Amino acid sequence: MLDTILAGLGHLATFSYWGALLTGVFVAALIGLLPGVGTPMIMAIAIPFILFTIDDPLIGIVLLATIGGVSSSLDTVPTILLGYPSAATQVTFLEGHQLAERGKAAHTLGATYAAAGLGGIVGAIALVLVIPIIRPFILNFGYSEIAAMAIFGIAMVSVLSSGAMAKGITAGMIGLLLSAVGIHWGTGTERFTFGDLNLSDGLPMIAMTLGIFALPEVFDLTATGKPVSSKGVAMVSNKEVVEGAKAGFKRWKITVRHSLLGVFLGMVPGIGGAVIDWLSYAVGVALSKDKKQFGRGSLDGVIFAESAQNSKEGGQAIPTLAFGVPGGLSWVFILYAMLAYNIAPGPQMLDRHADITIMIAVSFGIANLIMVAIGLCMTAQLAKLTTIPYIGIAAVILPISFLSAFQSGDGWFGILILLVFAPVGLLMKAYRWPRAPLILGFILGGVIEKNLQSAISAHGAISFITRPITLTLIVITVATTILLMRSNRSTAEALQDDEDLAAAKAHASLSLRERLLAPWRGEHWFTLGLMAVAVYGILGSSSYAPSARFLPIATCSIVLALMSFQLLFGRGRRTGKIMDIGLRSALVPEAVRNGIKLAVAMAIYLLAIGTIGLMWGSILFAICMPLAMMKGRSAVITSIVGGIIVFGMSYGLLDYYMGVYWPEPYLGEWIEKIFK
Amino acid sequence: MGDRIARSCAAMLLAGVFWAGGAQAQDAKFDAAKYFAGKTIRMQVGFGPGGGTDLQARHFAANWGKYMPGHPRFQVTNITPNTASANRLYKSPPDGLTIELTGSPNVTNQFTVPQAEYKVEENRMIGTHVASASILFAYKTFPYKTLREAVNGKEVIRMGWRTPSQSSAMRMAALSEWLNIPMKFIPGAAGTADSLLELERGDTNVWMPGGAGTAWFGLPVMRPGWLKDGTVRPFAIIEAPDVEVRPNKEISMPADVPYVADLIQDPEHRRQFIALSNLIDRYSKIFMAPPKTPEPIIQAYRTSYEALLKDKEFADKLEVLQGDPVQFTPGDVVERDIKQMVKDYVEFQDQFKIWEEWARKRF
Repeated sequence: MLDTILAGLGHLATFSYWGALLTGVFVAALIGLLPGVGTPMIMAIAIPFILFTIDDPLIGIVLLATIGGVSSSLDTVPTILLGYPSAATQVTFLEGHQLAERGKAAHTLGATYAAAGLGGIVGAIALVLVIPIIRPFILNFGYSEIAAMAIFGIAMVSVLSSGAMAKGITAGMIGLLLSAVGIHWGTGTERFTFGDLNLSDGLPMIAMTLGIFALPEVFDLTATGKPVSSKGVAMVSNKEVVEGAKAGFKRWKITVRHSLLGVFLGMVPGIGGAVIDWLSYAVGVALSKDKKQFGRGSLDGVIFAESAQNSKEGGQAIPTLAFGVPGGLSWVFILYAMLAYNIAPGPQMLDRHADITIMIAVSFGIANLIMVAIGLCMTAQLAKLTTIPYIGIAAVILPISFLSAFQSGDGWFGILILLVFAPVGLLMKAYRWPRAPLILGFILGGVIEKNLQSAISAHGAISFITRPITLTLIVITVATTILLMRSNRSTAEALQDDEDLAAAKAHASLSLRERLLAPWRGEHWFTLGLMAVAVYGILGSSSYAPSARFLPIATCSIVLALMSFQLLFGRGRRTGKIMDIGLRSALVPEAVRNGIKLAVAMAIYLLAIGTIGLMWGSILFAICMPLAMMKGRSAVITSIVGGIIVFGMSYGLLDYYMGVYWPEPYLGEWIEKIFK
Repeated sequence: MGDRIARSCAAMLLAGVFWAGGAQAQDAKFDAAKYFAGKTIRMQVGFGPGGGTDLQARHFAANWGKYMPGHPRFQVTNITPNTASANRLYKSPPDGLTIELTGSPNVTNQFTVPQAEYKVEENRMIGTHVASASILFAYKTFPYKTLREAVNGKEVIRMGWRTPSQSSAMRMAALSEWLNIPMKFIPGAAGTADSLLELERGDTNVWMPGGAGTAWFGLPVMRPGWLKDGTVRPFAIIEAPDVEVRPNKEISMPADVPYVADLIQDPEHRRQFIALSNLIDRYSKIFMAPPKTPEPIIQAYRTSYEALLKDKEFADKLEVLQGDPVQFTPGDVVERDIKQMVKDYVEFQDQFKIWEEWARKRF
C-alpha cells in the first residue's frame, strides 16, 4: 500500500497533475462566483470530456473531484455581497449578508475563506483517517439510524424557531408536508401531484429555495432603492479582507468542531448541503454562550455554516470511496468516472487504488488553499458590488433566477414553482416567519419517512430499540430536545430588544377576552391561508393508503392545532426578532414607489418571456431594466455587463452546451393564432 | 367552437410540418448529406445529467457526427421525468432532427403512467446496442443455492423495490404466488450501490437489478471478486429461456442456475411471465425517432449507427461506460419486437393488475 501511495504522491511532480488541479479549481471558482450555475450541470458537461481525453485515471478523477469538492468555497461571494443565497448558503446569507449591509463585506468574506479553507482541509484529513475504519460503522448505519439522525435534525427546528416557536414549528410542519408531494415509496400513491407529471418526482428543490429565499431578498433589496451597503467604499480594502481572514483563523477551534460535524453529516445519506449548514448553525447556536449575536449578523454563525459546508465534501467522499454509495450529487459523477476508468470503490481504495484515495485528499487540501488565495486576492474588488445601487444587480439576478428555476424543471414548471413560492417567502419575511424550519422540514421529511418505512419493513419497529446506534441517536435526540427547550427561552429573550420584551410583557398581561377580541391584521390572513392548506392536506390525503397518509395528516393536524391557538389567543402578540431577516424595505419611505416600479418591470418581463421566449426575454430584461431604472453612465455599463452575463448563461451554457428545450412562449402561440 | 377552429388550425399546421419534412426526405433524390449538413440534432435523454444513459448519450453525441451523412452536430438534452421525454419525442416533428436514447422500451409506462401521451409502437427505431442478461442474485448468507431450492421453501426472500407498480416487483410477486416462495419487499434501495449495501447490511438477501439488468456484466467492475468468491451468486436467470447468458469477466453462468420460466409449470403462466420479461429485459438502451420519420432519414441513422458501433475505439469506450458488451440489434428488429411487446401488454394487462396487487401485499 505504501508503494501505491508514494506512486500517487509522485504525481505532485508532474505537469499533468497541476494542470488538472488548476483547471478544476478555476472551473470550481467560476461555479461558485456565478449565481445560478450549478455544480452538477458543469460536471455533466465535463465528464465526457474527461473520460474520453484523459487516459490517466488518477488525473481524470482528481480533476472531477476538485470541481465538485471546492465549488462551494466561493459561493459565499454572491450570497454575502448580493444577498443572493443558493440552496447551500442560506445561513451565510442570514448572518453574512447582514454584516455586508453594515459595510463588513470584505471582512466577512475574509473570515469565510479562512473557515471554508480550514474546513476543506479538515475534511481531507478526515477522509484519509476515517476510510480505513469506516466499514463496520457504515454497515451498522442502516435505515433506522438514518431516520433517527434526520429526526435529530428536525429537533434543531426548535433552535431555528427561537423568537417565534409556534411559527417555526408550523413552518417545519409545512416543509414536511411539502416533502410528501410526489410518488410515495412502498405504495406508489401519487400524493398532491394534481395529475402533473413534474410533481410525481416531488417539488424541485432549486426552484423552491430560490422562491422562498433568493427572490424575496432581491425584491426587498430592490425596493429599498439603495446599495447593499450604505457605508461606502471606505471599508472595502485588501487590509480589511486580510483582517477578516485573521479573525476567521483565530476561531480555529469552532471551525474544527463544525468541520468535524460537517464530515459526519456528509457521510449520512440524504443529508445534503442544503441542510448541513442549518444543522451546523443550530448546534453552534445551542452551544454558544452569547446567543444575542445570532440572527442579526454574526461572524461565528457564518463560520459554523461554512466550515461544515466545505468539510462535508470529505465526509461525502467516504461512503463513495468505501462502498460506492455516493455521499452527494457531485459524488455520483465521480463514482461514475471511477467505474468508467475500471476503478471499483471498496477495500481496494486502500490497497490497489490507495494512490487515488490519497491524491483526492491531498488535492482537496491544496485546492482549498488555492481557493483561499483566490478569494483573498479578488474580494476587495468584488466587495465594491455592495456599493452600487441594487437595481443594477437585480437586473442580472432576476433573469438568472428564472433561468435556474426553468432548468430545474421541465418547461414552465420550474418557473411556476418559483412564482408560487416567491410570494410565500416574501410574506414570511413580512410577517416574521422563520424560513429555515420550512427548508429543514422539506429536505429531512423525505429522509425520515422513507427510512422509517424501510427500517420497519426490513427489521420491524422493534429495531428502534434493539439496534444500539439507533437507540443512542434517539436518546441523544430526546436529551438534546429537552436541553434546547430549556435554553430556548433564554435564546428567544436574548434575540429581543427592550421594545420587543415590553410588547411581550404587555401581551402577557392581557385578559382572555382582550386576547380573543384583538384586531385582525394581514398576517392573520396569511395564517388562515396556511390553515386552509392544512385542511386541504388532511382532506386530500384521506383516501391514500395508510402509510402514505400518515405524514400529511400528522403534520397538517399539528399546523391546525398550533395556528388555531395562535389565531385565537395570540393575535394581539407582536413577533419580535427571529432567526431570519425581516422586510428591510418596510422601513424605507420610497419602498412603495420602488416596489411598484419593480412590479411593472416584472410584469413586462413575464410578458416578454411569454411572447419572445424565456431566453431572449431574459437577455432583453437584463439590458433594458438598468436603462429604464438607473441614471447616467452606470446605467449603460450595467446594461452591457448584465446583457453579456445573461446572454452567456442562457445562450452559451443552456442553449449551446446543455441543449435545453426552451418553453414555448405562451403568448406567442396565441398571437400567432390570432394573426393566422 | 373557437377552440375547435384553433385545434383544426393546429392540426393543419402540424400536418404541414410533417408533410414538408416528410416530402423533403422521401424525395427519390433525397440527399442525406445535404439535408443534415450544418444541422444540429437533438438527442433527448429522459434522465438527469450524469446518469448512465446520459453519459452514453454524450459519448454517442460526441462521435456520431463523424459517421452521419452531412456530419451534423449532436446535442444532448435532458428531459425528466422519463415519461415527459417520451411524450416530447412522440410529438416532435418527423424531420430527423430529434431522436431519443431511452433507458427501456417505455412500453409499460405507456399503460401505467396516467400522463403518458405516446404510443411507442408508432415510434421509429434506429437500433439498440446493449445485450440482455437479467439475473437474480442471492447473498452468501441466504441458505438456498438457487431459486429451484426456494420453491415451496420456508426461508423468506427479501428484496428491495420502490413501488408495487414497478414491473420487476410485479414479476417477482407473480413468481412468489405461483411457485409458493415466501417473499417480502422492502421499500428502500434507490440504485445499484444502495441495493448492494442493503445486501451487506442484511436488510435484503436477494437482489434483482432494476430494469434491463446489466449487473451480470457490471458486477465484476463494481464489486471485483464478489462473484468469484461467492459473496453473491447467480440465483436464477430471469431472461426468456432462448436468451443465452454469456460469461462475464469473472465467472460463467453455473449450469445449475435455472431459467425462471423453466420452473413455471402452468403454460399460461409461463407465457405471461416471458411476455413481461421481454417487456422489461429484452432491450434497454434504444435509439428512437418520432413516428412517421421518413424511411431515408431512418436509413441514414441506422447505417451510421451500425458503422459507429463498428468503430473499435468508440465501442471499447462504450463498453466501459455501459458495463455490458456492445451488442447491436438493428432497428427493424427492435421495431418488430416492440410492436409485439405492446400487443402482449394489451393482452395481459388485466393479469398485470393482479400481479401489482400481489406486489402490494408483499410490501
